[in-house]
Amino acid sequence: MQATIPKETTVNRKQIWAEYEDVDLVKASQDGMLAAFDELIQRYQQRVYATVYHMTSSHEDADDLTQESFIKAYKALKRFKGESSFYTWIYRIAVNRTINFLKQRKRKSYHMSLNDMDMQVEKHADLLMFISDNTPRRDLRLNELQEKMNEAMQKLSQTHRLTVALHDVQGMSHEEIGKIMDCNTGTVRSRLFYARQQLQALLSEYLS
Amino acid sequence: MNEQSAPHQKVKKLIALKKFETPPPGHHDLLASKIISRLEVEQLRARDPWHRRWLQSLNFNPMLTAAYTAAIMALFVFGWHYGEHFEADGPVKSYGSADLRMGLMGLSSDESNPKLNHGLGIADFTLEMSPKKSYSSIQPFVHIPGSLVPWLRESSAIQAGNSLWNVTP
Repeated sequence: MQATIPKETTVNRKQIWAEYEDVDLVKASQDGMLAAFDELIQRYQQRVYATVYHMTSSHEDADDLTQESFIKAYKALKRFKGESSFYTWIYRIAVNRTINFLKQRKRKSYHMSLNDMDMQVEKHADLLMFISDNTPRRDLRLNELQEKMNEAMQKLSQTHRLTVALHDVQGMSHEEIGKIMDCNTGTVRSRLFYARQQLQALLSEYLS
Repeated sequence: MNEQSAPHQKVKKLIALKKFETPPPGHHDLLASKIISRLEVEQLRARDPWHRRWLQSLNFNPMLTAAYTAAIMALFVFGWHYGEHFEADGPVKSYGSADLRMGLMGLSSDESNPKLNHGLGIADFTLEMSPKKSYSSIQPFVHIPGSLVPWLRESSAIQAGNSLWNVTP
């Protein structure tokens, strides 16, 4: 779609911006139109948030880091030349910011977020398999499983954790992950393999 | 490195459950609003004149406020201290080193400078120059004991080229 930028005074501007592609929204945002950037936020915030959350295991930190990442992206938007997609670019910003944050957090006490899982998960067949059939403690509560998984994830290195979060949790392809992490697909596959191996050892209780 | 191996499939399924760890409903709408609000505030702030932005930065940064206050206090104290010394000791006093003092006691002959000798038979005066001052402020000072002119009895400054050489003690 060719960018014919709608005026900010449009009554239902959110709907209008929703029809535009990322490239046009980026151009409009570069011209200072916050409504266009708002649409970009709406499109990617959930995925960015989820990635940051799986890296930090804390909803509070994920909230702050997602906000900071989008604000930084808006400020740096003038320098965005469109060599990669906006999606890859914002992911890189969020990932780098999160890695820096985690380096600083190493020195501070780590606290686990214990927010409840989405209640839909209770009906999920895979979950029932893990907590009802294959675990010795049938009364295992949902948040205990969440805690165990988060603990296991935090024991992985940052690159391994990120690879698992992007591939196994968010379902991204190896190519996409390679672009975000600035490495080739072979490296992504290898990181996935080692990360899963470590997770298997850490979560053996549920996998036997 | 067969990533499709059975044990890895189980791990993969288990980890995939993490996608259900989501924030409460409505959280993402709120998050987007927060980001846009912060950007709007920053845009408004950028339009303010520099002095208002500076004052606002003081509100948000107590350390900066403390630093500015300390700097202003230091300047004030230095100015006050310097001012007191300057007033108490007069312009003759130089701080620290090497006043160039040239005493010409009872010059009556033409030994040094004929110009100085003119009309100063019994004059007892001292020329002082402070090297810390600029050339334009180097001034001769005259002290004539017993003079009827009060400012000549005490150490006083006379502008160079002024009536120094016409003084009659």
